[in-house]
Amino acid sequence: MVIKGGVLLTPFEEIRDPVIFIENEKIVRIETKAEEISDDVVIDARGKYIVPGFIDPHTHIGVYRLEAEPGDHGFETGDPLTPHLNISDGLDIYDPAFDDALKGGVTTIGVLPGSYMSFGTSVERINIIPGQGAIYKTNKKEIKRYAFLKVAVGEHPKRFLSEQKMVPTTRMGIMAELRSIFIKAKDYMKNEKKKFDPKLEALIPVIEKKIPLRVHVHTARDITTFLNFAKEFDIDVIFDHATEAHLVKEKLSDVPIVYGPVVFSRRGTELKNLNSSNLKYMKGLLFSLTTDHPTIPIQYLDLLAGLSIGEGFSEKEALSLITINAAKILGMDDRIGSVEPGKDADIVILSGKPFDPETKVLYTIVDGEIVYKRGDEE
Amino acid sequence: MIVVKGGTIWTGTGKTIENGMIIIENGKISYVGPEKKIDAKADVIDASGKFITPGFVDAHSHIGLIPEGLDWEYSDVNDYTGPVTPQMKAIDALDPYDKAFKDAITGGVTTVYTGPGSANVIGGVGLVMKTTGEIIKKEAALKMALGPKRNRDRKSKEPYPTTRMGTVALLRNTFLSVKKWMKKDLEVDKEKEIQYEVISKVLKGDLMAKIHLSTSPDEIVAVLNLIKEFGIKASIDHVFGGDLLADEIAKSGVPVVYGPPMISKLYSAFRYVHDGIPVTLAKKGVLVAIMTDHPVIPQKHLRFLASVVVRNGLDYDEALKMITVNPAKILGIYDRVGSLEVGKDADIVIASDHPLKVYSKIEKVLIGGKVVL
Repeated sequence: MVIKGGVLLTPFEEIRDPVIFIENEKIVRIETKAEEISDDVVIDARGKYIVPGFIDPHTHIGVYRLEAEPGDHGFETGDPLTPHLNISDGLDIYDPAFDDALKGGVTTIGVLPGSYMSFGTSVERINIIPGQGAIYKTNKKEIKRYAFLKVAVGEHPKRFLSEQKMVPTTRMGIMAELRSIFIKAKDYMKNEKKKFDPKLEALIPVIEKKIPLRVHVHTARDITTFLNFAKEFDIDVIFDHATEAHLVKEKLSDVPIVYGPVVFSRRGTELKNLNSSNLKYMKGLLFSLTTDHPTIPIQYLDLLAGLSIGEGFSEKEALSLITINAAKILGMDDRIGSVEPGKDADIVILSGKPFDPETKVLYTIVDGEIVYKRGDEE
Repeated sequence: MIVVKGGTIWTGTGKTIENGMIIIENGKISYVGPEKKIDAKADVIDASGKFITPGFVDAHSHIGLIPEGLDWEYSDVNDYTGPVTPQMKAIDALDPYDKAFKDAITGGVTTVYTGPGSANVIGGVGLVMKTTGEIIKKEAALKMALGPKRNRDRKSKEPYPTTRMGTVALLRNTFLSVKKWMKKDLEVDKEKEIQYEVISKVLKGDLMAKIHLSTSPDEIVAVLNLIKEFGIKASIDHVFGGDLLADEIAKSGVPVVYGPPMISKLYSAFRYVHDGIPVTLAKKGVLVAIMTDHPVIPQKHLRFLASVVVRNGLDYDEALKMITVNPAKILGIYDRVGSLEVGKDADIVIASDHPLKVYSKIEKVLIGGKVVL
């Protein structure tokens, strides 16, 4: 396949009239002058914009399904610590949100267990360790089954456990439970005559730093607490939501953040400082944006990123927030996040400038295959 | 005298003026047009290169009634006294010190409707105010809500209907009773009289009904019938599934407040949500506004939601009308706000670019001629 013409935002640089050659699911080369092109598929992108496929590292696509009967849950409600559960075992690939993602130019998603922010309830509900998250392409291919372990701290697990008449019921208690299971897992790793324990087994890749913890956290106080915890156990963490990250920016220079959703209800005390204008304080940090789908429907990821431009980000930086930054945070920037030779051919062709509301996704290409083409359905 | 000078003025009346000028005297607009020489002394706001629009109007929200940053327990929108509570007034619960108002101003929102929620069939009377706190209409609309109801096991004074038909029947029978009461064909106790007094205003056309429809298209049919049957003035709000009945809505002449855009089709209850609905309805000639339903989406993002409507296929002009001209008309306050015309309140938004470009920045906001941002 060959994509020809238009404006390519890699997103590191802008290349006018590129010729992008795709073979065997990969981008093989990019030229600016190609005299003769012989290929089965040539997409004429003159007058269009070409960008990397968008990436949302934090979604619940296939977990909390659109148009489904009520009753979907993203975590077990009877046990505060369930690190042995993997989200892939409860993921419905027929959720229409996959189609919405493709129509919105989203090509890779992180799928996490846990909760979404629902309307009409004051507090998000979640247990302390809801389980393992995965990475998927939106063509429904599983990329990594156990990509991260999700943990939640602060008011949300605290309230959930209180409501369920379960323990612990304080921030101290939540951290003590986490500390305890990590200490047990470390002992378990050293024990040569151990009996198989699926929960402790699940913590080993985290302790070995093969995968990071994804920490559901909102407030500055909980961010601070968890930074200490990460140091104590020498583990990698990624902060998710991180609503008050701007208040403790100086502590976060080497911690990746999946930020947002930046447009949502300021429901409950955890979210009281939520404001898209705080994006201006986030400059300089390694972060990406999230819809937290179904909190915000996945197809609006790029519009959320557009808000950053009003807060002082350049267009390239805004695009990076939903492409290369997200790829780095997922540990996949060798494969996705930019349009460069050697990378997966995950490419979106837009009718106009990125972030303009009137701009439409014309093509979404995943692994070198056209998986969405505008026009057929409208 | 204040003068806003330069820039592109989008008046809302179909005219866009390049290098325009707005003159403000005593909080009102006294001139809109091309730049001209002024003799009198004036405070000049230089808006060269900027985009100037009327202040945004949110036709459906709960701002000041559900405080931000607090839990749901602090909400004052749904009172489970009974399924029919027209005696409830938003003005009695409003917290004008909610910091959400200041935040709304940063998004260019200058006038809002705020009122009771959808738990009751007749919920109570909502109000219209400026985001500076000035009340424009203490009694702006009587909120009604279709769909099955739950009273959440409270001891209400009267039972709640639990089906869609039960809700419609209660509404119709209440209207019929009030009509009889108005003609003195029916006697009721004092408590009911207080309620009937409010409902009679709707039946006489002195107060609009604001009717919540969110479950399924059959509610739209039922409500259009009721509106016609009783000849009441109403807007239909949320209107999920409205695209399926676009012709019927257009024929009825009833205006629509869609939204909030960008909510998920989460679960079967929201299967009729579709952000193309306001686009379809507008193209059929329906008068459409959009809502934040604050705090569902913070009110400052009203313009972002209009951008979402553009993304779904509407042009910028029509989408901008959905947060200016149209909501002002629907709320019956177009004589004061919603467009930039001589004699209207000087509620003005100055943005770095077209305000529905998500990357534009709201730089200045005037309400009643006062710079509030």
